[in-house]
Amino acid sequence: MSVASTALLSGFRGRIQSRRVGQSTRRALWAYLFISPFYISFLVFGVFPIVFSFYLALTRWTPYQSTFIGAANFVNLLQDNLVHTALFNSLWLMVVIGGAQISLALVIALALNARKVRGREAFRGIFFLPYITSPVVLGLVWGVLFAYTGLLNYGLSRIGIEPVDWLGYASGSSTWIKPAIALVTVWQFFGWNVLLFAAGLQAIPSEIFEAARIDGATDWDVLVRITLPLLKRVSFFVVSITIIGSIQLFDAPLMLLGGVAGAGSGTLGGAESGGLTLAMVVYETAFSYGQFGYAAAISVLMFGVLVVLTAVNRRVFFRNLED
Amino acid sequence: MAVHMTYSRAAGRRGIVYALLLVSAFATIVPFYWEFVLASHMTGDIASTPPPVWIGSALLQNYRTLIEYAPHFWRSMLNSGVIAVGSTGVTIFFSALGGYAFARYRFPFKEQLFWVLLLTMLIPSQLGLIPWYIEMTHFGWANSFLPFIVPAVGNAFGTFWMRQYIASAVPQELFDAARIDGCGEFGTFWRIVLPLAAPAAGALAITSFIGGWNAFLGPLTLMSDPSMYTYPVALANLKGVHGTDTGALLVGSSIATLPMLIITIFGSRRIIDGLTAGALSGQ
Repeated sequence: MSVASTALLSGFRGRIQSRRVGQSTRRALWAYLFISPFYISFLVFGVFPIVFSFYLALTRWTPYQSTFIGAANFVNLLQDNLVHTALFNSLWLMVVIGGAQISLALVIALALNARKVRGREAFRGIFFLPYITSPVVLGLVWGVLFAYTGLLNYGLSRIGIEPVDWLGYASGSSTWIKPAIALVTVWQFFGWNVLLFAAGLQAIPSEIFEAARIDGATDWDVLVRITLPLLKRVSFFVVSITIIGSIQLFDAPLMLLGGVAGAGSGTLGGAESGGLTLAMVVYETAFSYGQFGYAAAISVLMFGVLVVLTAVNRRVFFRNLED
Repeated sequence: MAVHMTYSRAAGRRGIVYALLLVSAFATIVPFYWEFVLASHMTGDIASTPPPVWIGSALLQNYRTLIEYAPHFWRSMLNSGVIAVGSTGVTIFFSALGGYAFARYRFPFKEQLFWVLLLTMLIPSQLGLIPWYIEMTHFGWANSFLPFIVPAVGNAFGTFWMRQYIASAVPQELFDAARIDGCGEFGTFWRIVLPLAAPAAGALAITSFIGGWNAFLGPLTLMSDPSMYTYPVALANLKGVHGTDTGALLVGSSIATLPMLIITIFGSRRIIDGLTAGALSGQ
């Protein structure tokens, strides 16, 4: 082996190496090119609106001018009865909807996952349909069902129950408005929760159940000691989306209680504002009264409520750090 | 005796299982059934006692009233379709592109950038409605489809979801082969990655399509021109202005429900599997 050929070889090696470096840099640049649309779009449409909303909340902002007013919006917020009502309504709806929807969905999911159920795919399809249907359409349809002389009351009268003034139009009382909103929302989303729980149940290996049965565990033991603990992650997810969804309720209550025409008339949310949600107040404050700064402050309040509830939820589910 | 008891207990349990499923399925279907049935009755008859339970003869008349009150109804369906298809196409393309880069490329700060992406999934979108509206009007995007299509470029969940699939399901050899065959970087993505990622893209497409088709709050704030309404906005306005004409409202609702009904009947199995897997993958 001559000196010359060694030099030649090392020269080759150098070339190969520099080519590799060049190639990996070039490939990294392609990767940056491929991911940059995401980050640019996210900055423009995701980060900016959020940062801007905290600024807006500190201003008196109308479409024509903006004035920095510090915490004044938040001071007003504390004294605003409409906001208090909406916050109460939203929390009420969250608790009732969450409780009813999740327990119902869990029971139906267990039934759907029972061995040898016929027509499982048909049931899944049926439960899926309301979830993908527009809440605006469903609000409209249920508005008809809820009418004082509507189908629901007719059905109730057949089993001897007095007609219920669901939407408060007959009596001007808000007693049944929130239950009506909760009913529609549970009806729309419990099926999706069933499907999520059923997917979670499917993921549990059947050997676990068989082993428990051989060991003589009762159905109740199996449910409480095996099934529910193994559904923990799915349950956490279901509770999370229920919290987020019910605090942000807008479409269905709006449609049940009169559609967009109610906006600006001071009657949004139905009798005694019984169906007024936080999202409706945000919408009305900004788009009927043009108070964008104040509306942003209410959004920040809503955001704060969501952050607290999400943190509590995480804490309840994952108290033990081993998860 | 013991055998008999076990048998009857099992039969009883099956009875409860079917009772639960049938009652909840029935309760789910009834409002849809009545939506379609009542769409064919005059408004005056809908409130009568007992209420109609079978198809009536006023469908055409209600439809004419709907078109008279909401001349842009079909246009609004088309608008919802444009938003649904446009946002879905953009979501799929850019989610797969970003997901591919994260799955198959090595580059500085990759881990950190991916963490940022995961964190963005935790931010609730609702907070942004007011500033988002102001931003869009400043862009001159009021009464335009752009606010509902362009932001789909930055779909954090979609990018995450496509990354997971491409990393696990598309074999590395295919990329090597494509590269040897002289496909460029983008060519490899377009000709190899996109077709192979179709199963994951399908679930993402359905989520995105449903979101776009049902878009309401955003269009409600930004579309002031009735010919730019999406169908939920058109229906919400109709309810506000002609809320008493239940028949016409229900014809509109029924027409808008049909696409979802068709999706459910023909594709529910794969769609549901894809969507539940997608929803639970973020955990």
